[in-house]
Amino acid sequence: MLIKHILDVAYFETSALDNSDRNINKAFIKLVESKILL
Amino acid sequence: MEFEIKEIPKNSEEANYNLKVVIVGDSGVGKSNIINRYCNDQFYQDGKATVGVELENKFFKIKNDVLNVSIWDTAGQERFKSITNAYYRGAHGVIVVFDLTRKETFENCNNWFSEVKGNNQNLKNLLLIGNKSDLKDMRQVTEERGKEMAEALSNLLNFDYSFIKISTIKEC
Repeated sequence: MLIKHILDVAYFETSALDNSDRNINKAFIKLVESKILL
Repeated sequence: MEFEIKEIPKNSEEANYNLKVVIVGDSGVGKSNIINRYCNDQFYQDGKATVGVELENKFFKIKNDVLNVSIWDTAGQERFKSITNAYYRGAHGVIVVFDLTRKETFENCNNWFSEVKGNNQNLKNLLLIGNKSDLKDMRQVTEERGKEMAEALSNLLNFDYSFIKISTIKEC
């Protein structure tokens, strides 16, 4: 269970034209967080 | 674990950690525009196709450490594949991008994942991004299908990882 939790592939929907939801930033931060946790 | 991740200006401090991120996906899905929006807060309406590989950097401060995230933007065109394959090696994270308004780019995500995985067996961090969410009327891929694809990729990763763990135990 722990392995599954760590290796989940995160899914984001983004718009490079209108990033008002800041999902692009959230996606990159998610990668940085994953690296720290691993 | 509690920690604050703070973005800092480029090269304002010397980095003591590096994170290599490669962004892949079919031509025209918006890989360069995602990076350009994130790193420079800009968007080019008539963006040119990426030739080979381009690089951007983003710096973060985490406690007393400085992390340099180098983001490798790869060309999605078939003719550049021999060049881009080399850049998957050593990547800590990979972002697979598809265009929400072009179903075929979504269906190709599996191929991109296989290609990256084939060139980097240690890959653990993967993101799936559906881009162009602003074009709501032209959508060909639902959010549900995107989540299903992410889950399917997770299961593939976990299967590989479990297999490695079992092999290691048997060898001992």
